[in-house]
Amino acid sequence: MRQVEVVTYKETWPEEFESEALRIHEALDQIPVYIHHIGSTSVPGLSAKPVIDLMPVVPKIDEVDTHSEGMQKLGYEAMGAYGIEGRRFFRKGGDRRTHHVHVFELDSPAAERHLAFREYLRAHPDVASAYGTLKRSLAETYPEDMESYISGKEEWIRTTEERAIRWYREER
Amino acid sequence: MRYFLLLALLLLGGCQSGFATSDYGSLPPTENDVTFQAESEISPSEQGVRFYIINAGEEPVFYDMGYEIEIEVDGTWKEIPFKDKPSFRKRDRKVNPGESFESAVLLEELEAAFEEGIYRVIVTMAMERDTEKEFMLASEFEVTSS
Repeated sequence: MRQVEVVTYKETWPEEFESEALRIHEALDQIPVYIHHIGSTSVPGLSAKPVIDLMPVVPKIDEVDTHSEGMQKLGYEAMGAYGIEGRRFFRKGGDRRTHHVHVFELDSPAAERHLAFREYLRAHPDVASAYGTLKRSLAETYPEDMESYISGKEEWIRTTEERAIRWYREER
Repeated sequence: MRYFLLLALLLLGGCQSGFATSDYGSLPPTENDVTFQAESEISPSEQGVRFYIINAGEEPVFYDMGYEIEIEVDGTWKEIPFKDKPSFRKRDRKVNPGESFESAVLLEELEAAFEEGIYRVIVTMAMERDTEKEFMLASEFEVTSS
């Protein structure tokens, strides 16, 4: 069973992202145009589950399917779209999860949503702090119930994402 | 007051004309049987410009995984600078005879708003790995709202 663990921000997370991005670029046969660091570990100062989220952007999503073996060699489990259309999701670490890889096609709305959310939190430390408080509180309430932890923050994320996307489009 | 007037004039002049002039003149889209083709048109809201490298020759070629972007300003090509180049593109990419490689320029890597205009993507290819026998190819694209 996966434990819900939210820890304070670690200065090593950007480096962990960089080294994994290099490995993933090779495993996916250099097809990613860019690999973004997304999720809570990409926002300096934000408490997070210690899982690095990476988002490779590729010209054609179907091409990723021919490189699943390379990802498996890195220790990833290929999960297909896993509930989000146009995504290829990979996870590593089993119950002691360490990395998530969300591959999207260039110009995908879902990729924009992830980037908008990250940039919004980076630019608004007060909002990021409120998110960190919510996560810590949910982790204390549901230390062994990952589903309740995730559903407990869904509404906050949904409303913040809407604001973030509007802000991100205006900023660009 | 004079300072603010100067600042306003600089801003009105736009950043794009302030870019450095290109180091390159005219560059071909095809050389040594290798063709470089960027998609011809994108809208300002798009995140990237897809491109293809097609090797119609009989020897493998190597693409260094980088690119440069220039904008045409009054008939002159101007270099668009990068923000931070990603660190994961460490190794070149081999394109075998008869094969093609598709990639893209991600516009947010660059210090420009990508308003309407004519741009070109430039890539560097090599006939052998770790050699100075390089050649450059370019392909134009238009950013348009229509």
